[in-house]
Amino acid sequence: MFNMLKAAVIKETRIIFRDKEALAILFILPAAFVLIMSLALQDAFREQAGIKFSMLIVNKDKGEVGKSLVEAFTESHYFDVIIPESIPDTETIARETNDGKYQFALVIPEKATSGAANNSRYLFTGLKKYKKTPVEIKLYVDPAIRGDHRSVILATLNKSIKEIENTILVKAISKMPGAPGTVDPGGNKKPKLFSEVLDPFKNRISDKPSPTSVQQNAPGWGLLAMFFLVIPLAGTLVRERDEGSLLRLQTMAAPVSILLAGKIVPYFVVNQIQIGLILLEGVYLLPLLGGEKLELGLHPEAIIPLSFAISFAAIGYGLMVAAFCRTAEQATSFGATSILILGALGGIMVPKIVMPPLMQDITVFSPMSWGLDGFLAIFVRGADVSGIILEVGVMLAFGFICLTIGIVRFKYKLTHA
Amino acid sequence: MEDKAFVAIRKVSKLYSNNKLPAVDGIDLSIRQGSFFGLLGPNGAGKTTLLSMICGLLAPTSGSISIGPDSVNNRKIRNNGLLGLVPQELALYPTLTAGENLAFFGAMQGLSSAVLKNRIKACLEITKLDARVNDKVENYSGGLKRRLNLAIGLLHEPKLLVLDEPTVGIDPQSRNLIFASLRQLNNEGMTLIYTTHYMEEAEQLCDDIAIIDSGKIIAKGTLDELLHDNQCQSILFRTNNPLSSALIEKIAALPFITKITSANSKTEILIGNDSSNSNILADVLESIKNTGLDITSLTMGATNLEQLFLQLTGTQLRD
Ligand SMILES: Nc1ncnc2c1ncn2[C@@H]1O[C@H](COP(=O)(O)OP(=O)(O)OP(=O)(O)O)[C@@H](O)[C@H]1O
Ligand SMILES: [Mg+2]
Repeated sequence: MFNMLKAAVIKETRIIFRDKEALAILFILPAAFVLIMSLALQDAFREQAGIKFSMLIVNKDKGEVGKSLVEAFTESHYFDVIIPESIPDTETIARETNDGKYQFALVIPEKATSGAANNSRYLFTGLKKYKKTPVEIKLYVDPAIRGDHRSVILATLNKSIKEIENTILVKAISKMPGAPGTVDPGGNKKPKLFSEVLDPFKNRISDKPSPTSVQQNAPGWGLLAMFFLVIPLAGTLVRERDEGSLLRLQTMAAPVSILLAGKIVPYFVVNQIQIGLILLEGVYLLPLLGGEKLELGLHPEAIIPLSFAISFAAIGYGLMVAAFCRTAEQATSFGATSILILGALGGIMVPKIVMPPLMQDITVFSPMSWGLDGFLAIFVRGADVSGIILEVGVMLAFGFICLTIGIVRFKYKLTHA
Repeated sequence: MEDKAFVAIRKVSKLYSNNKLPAVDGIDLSIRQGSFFGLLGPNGAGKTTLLSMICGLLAPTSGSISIGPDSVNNRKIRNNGLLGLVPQELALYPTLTAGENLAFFGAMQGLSSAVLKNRIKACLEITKLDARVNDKVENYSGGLKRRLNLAIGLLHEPKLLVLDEPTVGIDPQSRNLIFASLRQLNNEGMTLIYTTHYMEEAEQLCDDIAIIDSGKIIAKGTLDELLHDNQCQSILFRTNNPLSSALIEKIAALPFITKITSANSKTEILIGNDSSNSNILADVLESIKNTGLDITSLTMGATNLEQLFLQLTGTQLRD
């Protein structure tokens, strides 16, 4: 049995490593992509320079708070501030931002200033008559806005509010000599007088910190490279079927499980080499060329189960493609096309954070999206193995389903001619 | 022959799911141990389909096939290496060398490394591939590939070797080499099933023959039986000028003559079984005398299998 497996693995390995085109697709192409894209997009990932957003500000407040906020946004280079002549109702504002008439709309409620002052008094005196009701400033967002832009604006807004709050608190203290308690501007992150402005599209991905260029590109193109193994895998398998080797093998002693393992093992190893080389490229080669070093996060060992799961998904997908294709050419072209589509959908070419929410929702259908999420979790959020269990599970399930469909289909084709 | 069948094919039919007519239609055959069995048929006759079922690669729609005591779908047949298949397609890995191909397939037959080493050597010798063992198969000629295809089928010394048109597209040298190897294997006791549409191959090699067409057996027996049971005496001659139609009619009217075909200067006459042919030739020559025609060549005797085959299957092209 072991002899058979060994011979099957050796044969498949020889076939892979003698296929120059496959090697170029599997190793050279993605390595080049990582290099080019990481360097090219380095600045784009740092900040978006020169972008302007239109923002409608509906200021119902007559006091300081409203004035300060309007000023803050008007002064910023990033915003074209629109002040409506008459105050529109909430529904109109919601509809118009949703339609993209302006990208953001900020609504400052009536009596925001006095409310905040009231709250500050309650804070210092604890008197019931100054009962605390946080002032609610609302932000409406065009759903087509990129997630990273959304989070930047949100952060800016909350920062401005916090500043205003500090001013109010400082003023309140100075008016109340001998009052107990101290103000610690910036100490507690959450505003006390205002409620925090939340992202209307929260739970998408805006809560995730942004990756650097190489943190996005290295695992992204690495993933694509791993899935590219579908091309040689499906190609050789279909050729074996066409050329009769598979039929001949069926008259021989070797069981199907050995034939299958003989395929899976070498491709699995190739996958691990691929991702290993690409990560090494990001960590060691890229800095030498003036790029950013690839930071692997706090638990680089979590990469191992992730890349195992990705490989399993890719191989399962390859076997399924092979089972459904009639010719090797078909397997090659369908394999390549479908992987590019899954890659685009998975946020490889265009990072998910810049996709609008609807597109982000669709990415769950690409296994590469899960793979990339796993890598980003490890690199950017410093996740350990427990932090990527969902991603690993989804990839394994995907691979298992593909493999099962592929085997069933292959058996059916061979016996139901 | 029926009593000691090694391969017993019983009322086997195969209807492919996307076809209307069965590719194999109620075939009954017994192949005795040690025979060199020829399966003849034109393109699309159902030869490959039948062989696939014998090898357990395709389930018959109805009927049963057994090799020795076991049904062909019994896993024992595979595990014991009873069966060797030399497929019609070249089932080889083009980017591997001959040696690598042999090593892989041998291991898949379950041969241990020590045995395999010896068997590879032996098979390379039989097929005279020793000198090219380290060349990649993609650089092989058609003949070399066919020989390697055969060598792989022989690796595990099967008791039954199934060959599907093993000499397609090769030169006479390679063909003769393959023939010689097969004869020797048969002499050593191996049972062979050999399909072809080259009649002279079957004539040279096989002792039992079945002719199939449209999935049915239309004749079977030994070569002698086949030729004797059918109208298989003929006279073939060439003349310096074509025969006139009057002359053709005259010859056709002679006793015992079942068929005459004459085109350009070549004439072929089939003679019925029940004749004692000695005077027919004289009759024919007599009719040609005084017509001003000269006979440039003349042969007479049993038809070869080719003529029988064409007679049985019709002369039109298939597929
Ligand atoms: N997989 C298949 N699906 C459907 N029909 C098939 C299939 N394989 C063969 N056939 C049909 O069955 C018939 C017999 O084919 P088969 O290959 O057995 O003939 P053959 O005698 O081997 O021909 P050849 O001499 O060309 O190899 C043909 O009509 C063919 O078109
Ligand atoms: Mg055939």
